[in-house]
Parts: sequence; structure tokens; C-alpha cells
Amino acid sequence: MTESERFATLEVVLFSVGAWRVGMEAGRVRGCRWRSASDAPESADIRLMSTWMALPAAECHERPMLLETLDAGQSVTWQVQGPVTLHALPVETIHPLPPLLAARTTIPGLRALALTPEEGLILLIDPSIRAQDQERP
Amino acid sequence: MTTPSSPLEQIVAQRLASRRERIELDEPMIKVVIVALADQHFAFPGEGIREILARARVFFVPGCPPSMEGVVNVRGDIETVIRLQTLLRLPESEPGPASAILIARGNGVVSGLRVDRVLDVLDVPRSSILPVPATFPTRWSTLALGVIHREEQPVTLLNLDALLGDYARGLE
Repeated sequence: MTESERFATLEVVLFSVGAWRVGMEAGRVRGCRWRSASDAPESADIRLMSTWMALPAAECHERPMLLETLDAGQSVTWQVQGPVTLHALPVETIHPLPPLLAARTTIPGLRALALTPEEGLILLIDPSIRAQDQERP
Repeated sequence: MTTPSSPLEQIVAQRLASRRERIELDEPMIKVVIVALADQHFAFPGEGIREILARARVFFVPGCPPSMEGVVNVRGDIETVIRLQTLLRLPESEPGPASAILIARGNGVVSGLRVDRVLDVLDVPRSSILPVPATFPTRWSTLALGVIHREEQPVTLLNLDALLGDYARGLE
């Protein structure tokens, strides 16, 4: 695989946080499953993505989903809203944050934006950034 | 000795007037883009304005200050759009049909600036820029380079370096 082929697209796992579509690199995601009744309701091992991103979580009647990521060798489980899908984003749809947005955003881990005809605006995050600051449910 | 009404005096007076005119024409000029915001007029140095977008879709981005309207796609690059009305503490209003986004550069930063209307692009003599009056609101005086006049109306010339630099530092 050549460099140009390698970076023609970026595989991302997309999910919802409130009204927003959010993506993270697929390579960071180790697994995905529905949250089940056996998961403790106030589990300290499950982090709410909406709380970490400081975004309002829309009322959702569907069962939340759990994404497992790897952060500095440790497994982290995030609660997100569906639909959770895998997308190959063309690199030309991915934009670095404009400097004023980078300077003023309150969303931790926001690294880039993507604009696609299908999904509209996508917030691309790196969940390992400021992971130590994130709040737990 | 010549009298004031002599032909020579008249010729000399004409020549002096002509020289004054030439001096005025040669004096340094500055291009400005004049815009309307609420019922106020503001101007930006033309060298700091890269383009004017009449119609552009703005995508709202969460987690931003209320003064940031969102981002706009400018031929493949995305830029922020800032509501100048909010920054300048002017009455808020929804963008109307004449609204435009100026893509501006200041302090090494590029951003869109939402204005109600673009009124004019003018060359004005630098000498016509008057100092900022002491009676100006503090917020305006920190961002203003001076005041010019257009059609008898005062126009506040804004400093893009200060405006965008302050914004990046969270000073609103």
C-alpha cells in the first residue's frame, strides 16, 4: 500500500451524542456492544461520552451502546448513542480545526471536523486527549 | 508690486491651488470595506479582507462561544464565522437577505465575520482617519483604529489584528 493510498480515506466509527454525529478513528475502537441489564447502572467503569464532551445528551429511547477503546494500554468503555456505523471518510472531507475554533472550543479531544453529504457535520475526536479529566456517570 | 486681483496674482493663486490638489491626490490612501451592523457603520482595512461571501451555508459547531456562528466551507477550507454584533455588544438580529460573511485576516488568523450588509469599498486618505473619540464605548475603542466619515455618517474603522487576536485569547 502506498502512502497516497493509505491516506485517501480514514476509517472512523461514527456514533451520536445528543443531536451530533461524532467519530473516532476505527483503529482506536476495540469493540462495540449494546449496554445490557447486567451492566451496573452507575458503573464507574463506563464513561458517558456526552458528559466528557460537555454536550447535552438528547432523550433517547433506544438502548445505549458501549464502545471499548484503548487508552495508554488501558481499556476504556464509553457509553454513546446509536446508530454506530463504520465509515471510510475521504481525506478531502476532513478539515483541521480553524484556529479560532481550536482556541475557543470547550469540547475536549476535538481534533478535526468532517463535512460529508450523507452525515453533514461530524465532530472527530481523540478520546485519549485529557482522558484524565473526564467525568464519570 | 502686484495687486491681489492682478493676472499674475490670479495665476499664482491658481497654481498654488493646483499644487495643493496634487498634494492631496498624492497623499497615502487606504482601501476600506464599509459594512452595516444594526444601525451602525463600521469599516475594515481592505488589505485584511480576502473575500466577501454573499451566500454560504454555515454549520453550527457545539461547544463554541455564542459569538461563534459556526464554520463555513470556503472552496475546501473551513473557516469560523464570528458574529460581530455579539462581539461589539450590538442588538442581536438574525442574518437577513443582505447579510454577508467577510473572510478576514488579522493577527495571523483567518476567520469569517458576519455583517448585516456590505455598503461600500472605498479609497480614503489616511489623513481623513480621525482619532477614536473619548466618548466611545470601551469595547469599541479597544478595537478601533479611528473614525472616518462616509455620507456625513461616522464609520468606525476596526483593527482586525486586535479583533481576531483578542478573540483567540478569549477576550470578548
